[in-house]
Amino acid sequence: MSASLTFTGSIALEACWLAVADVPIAAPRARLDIGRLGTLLESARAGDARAFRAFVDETMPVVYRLTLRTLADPHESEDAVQETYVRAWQGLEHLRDLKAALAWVCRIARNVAADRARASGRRRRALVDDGGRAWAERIAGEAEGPEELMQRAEARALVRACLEELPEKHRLVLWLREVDQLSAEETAAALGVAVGTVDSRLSRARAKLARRVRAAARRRP
Amino acid sequence: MSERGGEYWREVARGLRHDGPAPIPPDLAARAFAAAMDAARVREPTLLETLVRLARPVTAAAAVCAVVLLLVGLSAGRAEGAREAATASLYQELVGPPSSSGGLLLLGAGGAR
Repeated sequence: MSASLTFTGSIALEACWLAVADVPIAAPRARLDIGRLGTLLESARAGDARAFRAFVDETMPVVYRLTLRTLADPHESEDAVQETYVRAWQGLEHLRDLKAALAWVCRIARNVAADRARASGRRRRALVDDGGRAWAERIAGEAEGPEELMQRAEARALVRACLEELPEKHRLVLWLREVDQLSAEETAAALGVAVGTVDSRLSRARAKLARRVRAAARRRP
Repeated sequence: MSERGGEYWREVARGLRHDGPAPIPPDLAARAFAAAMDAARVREPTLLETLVRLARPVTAAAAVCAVVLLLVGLSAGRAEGAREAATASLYQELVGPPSSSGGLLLLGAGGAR
């Protein structure tokens, strides 16, 4: 394992990320029509509950992923999503800039998630969803040997562990952009930063992850 | 494995992304919307709340009446005081300044006449 994880620089992992970006793993997600959200909230503010329902349908995937990657607990995240939309509905009158509707609801979600994280007082734990198992089963179905399967699983666990050790701002941008495949605009709204900041953070996060993975790989027996 | 190098890592990263975006619970949007509507729904008031709400205008009207009555009372009292002062003034003009016994004597004398 150690031999295979020896890199001469960050180029290998960077190339790896780029290669992954080229691999069509899942069908591309329909992008959010951010401009429409303001119109929906305008109608909702006038008492149109159906417009608010449409707003929830449109924005909920971003809100859920943001809370999930912050809280690392699917059940807690579902509760946080519900609380977010309760607060949003109650606070519709306070929304000033309708064009920033997604950023507004994401700000509420971040506050809700932060409140919940504080209230629970729990240490954030790494999210282990069953996607890993599904992946392992899929790989197993590709007639590969158990040794290779185990090595892949180990390597995957190593990368995930390194990802979890990153500072929150870098970890979140990697989760949202690389794994959840949010657009730069959606990620910017989710994190409450400019699109340019998302790009620079992503670049730094990739480099940090590459460094950590290299270091962790060298430490392994 | 070592000879595979980058390919190995491509596989790792593919594994990382193979899970794809976090799956969205299918009914979460409906639940979130229902929670928002439930929180906003105006619940039926209790009997006590209804009574309090009905009593509120009555209480306000009673307070206004009390203030009006007080003002009327004060005004009437002030008029009474003014009348008394005028009477006393007229008395002084007719009878002269009040003394400890003079007025009474004069009244007594008038009565005797």
